[in-house]
Amino acid sequence: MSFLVRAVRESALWRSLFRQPYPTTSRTRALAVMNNVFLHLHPVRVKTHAVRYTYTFCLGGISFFLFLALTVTGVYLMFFYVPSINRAFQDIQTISNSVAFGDLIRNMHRWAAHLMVLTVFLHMIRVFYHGAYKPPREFNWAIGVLLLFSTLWLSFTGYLLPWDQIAFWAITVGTQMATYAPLASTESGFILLGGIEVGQETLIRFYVMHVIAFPLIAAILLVVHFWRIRKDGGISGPV
Amino acid sequence: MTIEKRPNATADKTAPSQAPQVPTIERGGGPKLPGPPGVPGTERFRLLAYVKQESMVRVDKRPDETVLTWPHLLRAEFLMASLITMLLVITSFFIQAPLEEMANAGNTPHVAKAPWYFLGLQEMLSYFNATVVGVLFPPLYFIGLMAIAYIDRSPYKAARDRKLVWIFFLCLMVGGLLVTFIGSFFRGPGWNWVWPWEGLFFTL
Repeated sequence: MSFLVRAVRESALWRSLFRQPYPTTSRTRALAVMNNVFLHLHPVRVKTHAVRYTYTFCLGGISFFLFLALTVTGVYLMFFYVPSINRAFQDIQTISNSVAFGDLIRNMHRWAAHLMVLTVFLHMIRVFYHGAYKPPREFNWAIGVLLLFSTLWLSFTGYLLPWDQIAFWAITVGTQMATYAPLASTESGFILLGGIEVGQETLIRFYVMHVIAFPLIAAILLVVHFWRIRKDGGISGPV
Repeated sequence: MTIEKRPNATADKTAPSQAPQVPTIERGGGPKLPGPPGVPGTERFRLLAYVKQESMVRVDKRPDETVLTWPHLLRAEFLMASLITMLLVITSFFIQAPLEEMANAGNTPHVAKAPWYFLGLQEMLSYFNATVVGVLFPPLYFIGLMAIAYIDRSPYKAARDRKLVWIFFLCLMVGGLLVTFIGSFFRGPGWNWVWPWEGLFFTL
């Protein structure tokens, strides 16, 4: 067995994947973080309070993890969904009844979306409580607020996609607010809905915003958000 | 402060074999240091520099206490990711996402509510002018949140040292939470007041 393990670890394939042995010393642990494209998002060392659960409650990390979970489950759902008012509702029923793990994945997508709105909001409250928006972190706070808006908008646009009564009337009520805009009530309603009421044009607009436009915007904002954490001196200190 | 100076640092990297002899020099009782090979007069030496303090304030900056990301932070992240995954799978296994009948523009339900995070706005529509609440309030809310960081620039973090910002933030949060709560659980058909025990008109 040990011969097999050694053969694998000394193979060209393994050594091309992992440049160093399993990190056990300070040096190799530092290298493991620096040499990995995903891990190098983190600094090699972090402040002690940053790893305390009761300091951050992991709310930012959980929000990001939920974003990833929503991306994975969302991509799976996209295989079986057509954004047409004649097919959307039936596709949701098919996903729930006939697609392998479809019901579970749809439920996960729905509950993760609600949970993400909640965790992003709580993350913002935690950051405020610790005064972590203060210089030099003020720009990152602004990025965070934009991320909160993106999260709400992603959730709102996804709300219409099942094309059932809940979705239709929730979006009708939600988008009606835009039609109260002074001087441009018709135009603002038209831009949002693609027409004078929620219909096929609205569904395709919301679908594109939900699966492409806003995930992309959110991803870019997330990159800037994480980058600024590093550049602004890491996570802020306790009150 | 000690500065190590290497004026020709690349020379020994590019052509180490060109140097048969490595000159050394000793200054001020310091250690003997090899200089760049083959370049007389460019020996490595140590220099003691005097740095003038620009501020009268004495900086008392101690190094932060830190831990290695691997394994400390990554362990915490892995644990939380696993917990959230388990929570999601278990919740999704037992609680079904809502799905009513197919959308029908001709069939208006008794209660038409926006998604729960916009119910605060919908609730406020029943109090104030629609233009103010529906159009002006949402951008002002987000701009106000962003502005907090540019208004409160003092270094103090304790609540007693930033009372005004705390009050402003609490008004936004508690006010928002209150109207969302009322819109979610206390409004029924015709947006009339309904106690939760008389009927719950709320869908996630």
